[in-house]
Amino acid sequence: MIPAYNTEKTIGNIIKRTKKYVDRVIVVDDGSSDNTYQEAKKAGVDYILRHSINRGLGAATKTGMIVALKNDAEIVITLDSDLQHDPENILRFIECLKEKNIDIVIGSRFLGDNKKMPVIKKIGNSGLNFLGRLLFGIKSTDTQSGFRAFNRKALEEINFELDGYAISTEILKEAKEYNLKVEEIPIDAIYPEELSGTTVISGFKILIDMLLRKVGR
Amino acid sequence: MIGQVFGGIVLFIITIYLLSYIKREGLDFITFFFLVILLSLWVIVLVPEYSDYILKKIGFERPFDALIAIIATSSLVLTLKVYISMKKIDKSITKIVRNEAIKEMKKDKKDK
Repeated sequence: MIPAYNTEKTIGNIIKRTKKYVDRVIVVDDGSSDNTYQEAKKAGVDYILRHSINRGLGAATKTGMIVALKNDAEIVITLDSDLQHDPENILRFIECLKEKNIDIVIGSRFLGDNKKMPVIKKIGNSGLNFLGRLLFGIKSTDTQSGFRAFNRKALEEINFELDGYAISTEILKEAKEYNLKVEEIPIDAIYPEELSGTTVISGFKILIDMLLRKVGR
Repeated sequence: MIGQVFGGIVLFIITIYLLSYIKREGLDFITFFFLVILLSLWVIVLVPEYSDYILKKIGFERPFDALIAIIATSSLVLTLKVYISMKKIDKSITKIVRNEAIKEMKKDKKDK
C-alpha cells in the first residue's frame, strides 16, 4: 500500500518494482495537484484511490488499510512513493512476519546504513523517537519509518485516528496498548532527489499531534 | 546592539525559511501561528526601546515580562483550543473524502 502526494516522477517506478514482490498494489493519491493519479494508473496499479483534497499521510494510510481489509489482505506492506524505500526488502519483511510470528515489522533506518540521512533529519527523528518513548513508552529506533509490514490481526486491532505524519507514532502506541508483537529490521536510508518527506515544520506538527493524543483528544 | 544584529540575522534566516515553506505548502493554522510569533520577535528585536517605553507609559512595572507572559499564555491556550476544534472538523472532512474515494474506486472497477 503506497500513500502518494505529488510524486508523479517516482510513483510509476515504485509501483512496477513493488509488483514483483506482492500480489496486489494499492495506491492512495492524497489530493495531488500533479499527474500522480494518471502515472499510477499507467504503471498498472491494482487499486487506485484518489482523495479529492490533501488530507495527510495518516488519512491516506487509513483509506488504503480499509481497502486492503475489505479485499481480504493477509499482510499489508506500506512504503513511501518517493523511492525512499527499496521494494526488494519486502520479502525480508514478510519472512520476519511469518517465521517469527510478528504482528508489525518496522524497517529502521537507524539500524541500517544511514550515512546519507541529512543531519537535521537525524536530529529530528531522534527527537521524535525520544518523545515517543517519553509520552507512550514506545521503544523504537525509528518511530517515523513508513516502511512497515502488518499482519491482519494488527490491521484489525489498530485504531487509526490521526490524519498527519504522527500516525507513524500512533500505530506504535496502539500496538503497545493491544500487546501486538513489533520487531524492527534494518533498512538503508535512501534520500533521492525527488524526496518529498517531512520538513522541520512537519516535525513540529507531529510533536503537537503527539501531545494532543497524549492528553486524550 | 550586538544582540540586535545577531537576533536580526537569525530571524532573517527563519523568516526566509518560513516564507518559502508557506509558498510551497500554503498557509495553515499552525504555520500562521509561527508567523505571528515571528513577527512579534521582529518587533522586539528591532524596536526594544520603543516597545518598552510605550508599555511603561500605560502602567506596567516590569512591562515587557508581564505582557509577554500574558500574550504567550493566552495565545497558546487559544491556539490549542482552535486547533482541537479544527481537527474535529478535519476528521469529518476526511471521512467524506475517504468515502468518496472508495466509491469512485468501486465505480472504476465496475466500469472495467
